[in-house]
Amino acid sequence: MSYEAEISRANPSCFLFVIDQSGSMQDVMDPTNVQQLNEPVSVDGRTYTQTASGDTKAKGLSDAINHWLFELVLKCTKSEGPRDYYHVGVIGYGAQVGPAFSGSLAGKELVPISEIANSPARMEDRTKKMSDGAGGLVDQGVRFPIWFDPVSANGTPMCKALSNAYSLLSQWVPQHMSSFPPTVIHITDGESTDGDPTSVAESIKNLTTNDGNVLLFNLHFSSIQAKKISFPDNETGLPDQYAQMLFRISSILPDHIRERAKKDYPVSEGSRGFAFNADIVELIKFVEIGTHASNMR
Amino acid sequence: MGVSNQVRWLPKSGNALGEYEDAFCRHCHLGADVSRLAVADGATEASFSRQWAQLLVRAYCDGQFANDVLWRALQELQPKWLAKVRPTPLPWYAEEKLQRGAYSSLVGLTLHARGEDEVGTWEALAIGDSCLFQIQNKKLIVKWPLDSSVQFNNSPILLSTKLECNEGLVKQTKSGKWSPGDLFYLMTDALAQYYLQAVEQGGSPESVMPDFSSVVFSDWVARRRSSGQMRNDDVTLLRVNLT
Repeated sequence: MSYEAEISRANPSCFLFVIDQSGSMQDVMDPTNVQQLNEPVSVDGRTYTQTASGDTKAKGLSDAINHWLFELVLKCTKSEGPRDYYHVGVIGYGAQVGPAFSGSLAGKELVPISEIANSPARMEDRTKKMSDGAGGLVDQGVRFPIWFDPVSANGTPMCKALSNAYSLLSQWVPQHMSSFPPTVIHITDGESTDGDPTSVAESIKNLTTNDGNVLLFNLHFSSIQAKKISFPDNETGLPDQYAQMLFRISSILPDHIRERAKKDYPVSEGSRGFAFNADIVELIKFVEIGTHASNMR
Repeated sequence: MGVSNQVRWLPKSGNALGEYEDAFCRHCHLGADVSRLAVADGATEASFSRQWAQLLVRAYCDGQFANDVLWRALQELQPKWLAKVRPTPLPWYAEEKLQRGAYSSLVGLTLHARGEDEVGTWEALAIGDSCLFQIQNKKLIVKWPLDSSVQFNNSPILLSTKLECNEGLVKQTKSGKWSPGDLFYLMTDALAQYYLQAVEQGGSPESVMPDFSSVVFSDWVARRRSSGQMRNDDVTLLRVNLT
């Protein structure tokens, strides 16, 4: 049976994010207050015809990953501190391809979760609603760790980024053959500028521990105005060739992930780890479903 | 009242002894009119549950749960827990886990000495899935609060350090009588589930759980874990013989 290995300190698993940081990630994700410009404006080689308010895709993405890292650290934290149930990496691609952590983790590839817990780039003060213990809510200050900052510049060297992921995992996998296999979450808004990534994606999925093949999930933030699609089981409703390509290279959902996804989405046995045009809430949900930290010892 | 007891405990396989998060306590003295014993199972998903479980069993054995107001006892325990786990500023993740609270089950047994009668009385309290069993004349006459191995799941109702989470929590109580020769067991969930299942499959209530004076508890548990008969979890057994 596959995907049943218990995740423990002796047999940790691995999450690897591959993040598009190309210039188009400056686009606003859920635009409000859209206004036409009197004349087009050119910034960093791109031409803009309107202004809008809202977070950029890059900001939404960094928020989602910081949020996810925060929750993963807490899931792994027991009384004595964080246990190394996972190694986590973030590869960014845009102006350059490589590790994308900020702060003291900058340049590091796959990092044990305890090191991530103890090395945020900075702490930000935020407020959250808490119970006052008497049926009401109060605002309480919390310190929120930031590991990853929004970046967006240049092209979309997707093949090089996925090759980088393959290289990291082809070293990690033989050292962790008893482990639950790694999960790769690839997040992009568009077309690869360095060729067709299908064969390198297949190489990633062909890596295998004794518990199963590496899982590859793809999340497509398209600029095309089309409806959101999550965990489809065929490519017929997908709006363009890039979405279709990303669907084809995505792993079929293993049973435990399909079970978790079906609480929120219509899924079938052929559903793949692919989502199209997610907003920030969907993005976080997609990442959490794809990386659900279950079965930890 | 003659009360002899035996405690055996073991952390989850793969964990260090210091990572054991169950707790137990015994206040039983020869000739005393009242003896109290308790076990608790701190939830591993939360942080600092071991300290919470330890406070709960001690409070039970000190008689702090004897009155009907569970809420008041918990209100007094919560600041003690906080003082124990936050003597100095904590890293952000420990502080966040602390805000999310610690959780534990609890089962406590209070035994009253026999008076003029041949039988004594007992009462018990339970929250969650730690269990009490009474064996009399080789028969399992009390299995409580769960009475079937299929009733165990991963989300029992537990006592929390977040007092608002305990609102509406109903203290389950039970009482009964005991006679000389009776045997009581208090167990945390993985062991209790194994025990109930073994009895359901026709095992004798006495012999399913051997006397661990002569059988090594850790070996006995390890065999059952590796054969899949027992879930890999912290285990605690408190065995009480009455004479």
